[in-house]
Amino acid sequence: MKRYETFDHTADLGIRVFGRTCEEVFANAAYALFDLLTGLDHVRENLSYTFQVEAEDREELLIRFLSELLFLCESEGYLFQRFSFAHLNQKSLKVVAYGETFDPSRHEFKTEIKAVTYHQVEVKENHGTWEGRVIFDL
Amino acid sequence: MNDQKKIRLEKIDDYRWRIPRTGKMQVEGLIYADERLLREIREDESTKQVANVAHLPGILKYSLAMPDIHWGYGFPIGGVAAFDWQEGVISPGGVGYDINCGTRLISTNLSVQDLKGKIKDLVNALYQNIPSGVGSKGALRLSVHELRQVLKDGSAWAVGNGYGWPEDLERTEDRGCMEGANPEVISDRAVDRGRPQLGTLGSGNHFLEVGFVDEIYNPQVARVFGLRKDQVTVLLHSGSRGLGYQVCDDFLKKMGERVRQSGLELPDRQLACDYIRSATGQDYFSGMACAANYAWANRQMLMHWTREVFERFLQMGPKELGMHLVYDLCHNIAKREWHMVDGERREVCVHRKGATRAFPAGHPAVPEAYRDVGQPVLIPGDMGRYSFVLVGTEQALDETFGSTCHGAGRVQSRTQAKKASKGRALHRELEDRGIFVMAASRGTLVEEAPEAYKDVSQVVEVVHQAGISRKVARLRPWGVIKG
Repeated sequence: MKRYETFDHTADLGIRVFGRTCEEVFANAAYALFDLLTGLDHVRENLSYTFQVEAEDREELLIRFLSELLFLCESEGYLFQRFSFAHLNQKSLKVVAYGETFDPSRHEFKTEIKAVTYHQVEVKENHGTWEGRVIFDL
Repeated sequence: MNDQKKIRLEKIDDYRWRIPRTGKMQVEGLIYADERLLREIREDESTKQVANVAHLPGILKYSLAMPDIHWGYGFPIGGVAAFDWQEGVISPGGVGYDINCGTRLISTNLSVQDLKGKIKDLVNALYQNIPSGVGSKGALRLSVHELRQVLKDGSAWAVGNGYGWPEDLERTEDRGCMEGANPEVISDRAVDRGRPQLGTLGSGNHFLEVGFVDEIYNPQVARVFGLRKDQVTVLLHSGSRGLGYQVCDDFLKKMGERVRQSGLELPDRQLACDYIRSATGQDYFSGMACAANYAWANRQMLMHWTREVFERFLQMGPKELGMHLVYDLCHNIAKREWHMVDGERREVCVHRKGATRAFPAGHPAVPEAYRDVGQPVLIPGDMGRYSFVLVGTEQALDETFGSTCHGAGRVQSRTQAKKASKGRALHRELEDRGIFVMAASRGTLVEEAPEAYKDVSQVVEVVHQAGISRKVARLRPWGVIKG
């Protein structure tokens, strides 16, 4: 199953994310975020980071989750490629993210993502598969 | 989105279109465009967004849109909306993520002749000395205390610390410092993102461009602005970096919660807002002012390093080089201003999201040096064609709360631009047109290809013909740094 695809939104960039479960959609959205920021081919796993996020509904939860990762990337230089959820419901999640710290000799930033927007955000189940949609402000 | 109803537009004249009031719209919409631009505008949902903004409490006169309008989040980019200070709302989405994204124009005593054969090396030297690119970090390591000073004082902090000259402040919108900035309302997160990035250009559509004046439309005003034909200029476009994005994000969340609690009915979740007089409204205004001040300090520092590079590279002193700031302005901001509304002087909050202030001659907010002619308006185009210098007008003050357009606006998405440039040597193509470009990544370069943008002259023609600003001069790019 394809993990994600991108679509255009005027000056910005959207992702459509797929998964068999809601967790998988969240994980694939996070994967897409880092894939767009840096490309994940050269990212190793030598650190893990656990955090929690809360929100009013599932859509906002996805936005807050991705915003948290964007912040960790910008402030700490963390690049994550794998995500394991301890729990995930409508209003909160706890996740362990695996990856490493940005190393200029092996990594480069491809795209600057300013923010994860609320615009047309969606997380839905459709005949047993899940799909999510988010637009990034570039 | 095919399920969206087409918004009805009524032609007022060749450059003005009205969206009549329907449903719960408080005021009409007013779009500045000619028929050609309007066709492009109608391809996205921005006209609907103009109508949506007209629903917000306390909006005055019109929900306005400039000819470079395109689809934004909640508010369209290229939108202007003013709200009564006592009864109206303020919205982070009406300002945008990049708070006080803006442009700065620097004049020089140099003519094109003086830089012939040297432009590549000069751009190289600038590129080495001006941090740019995705997530770029500056050479500066500010303490939290110092950053707070930046947030409070803006450009004055930069000048006070040796980045520039006192005269620069007089030629910056609001003297480079917005009142009401209170660092207490800024999250630790915003501080963390902002600290390492002060003094960096950023990426995407941000740039530093060495160019020259290739056409003068209004010699008298050009002279007052210190512009002459064939003169070398520097144009800079940058904003508040991660700090501004975080302030916007933090307050979108807070205001979203407030909207849920208060039951305020909004046509779009992204229009999250609160009354200006509310605690959240006041906090956002104070936080936005901090980000605005950060952006002014940032551009001030970038200009300072640009001057230093020119001095070293050309072995000339500052006097001889004459790199004066012509003007610095913001095009993503909400401002506290006084305007005439229905014959009454009212205190209002003007949101300009992808729109520029354009005050006329005689207005006290216009720098003294320009008060006889009006405020300079800087309209950057794409890197292959041209940018414009305009001047504010009385008519803008009457019609648009003293506002005009801000740039070209994209016609191709980033992916389309990438596809279109596949296999092309864009560097070479631009060089053949006499433009030398350095970009932190090829990705940025192709996304920013000239044909990805509207021809800015079409946009400028509309605001000129409509009378909400007047053409003064045109600038040609010569050497460009893209983040």
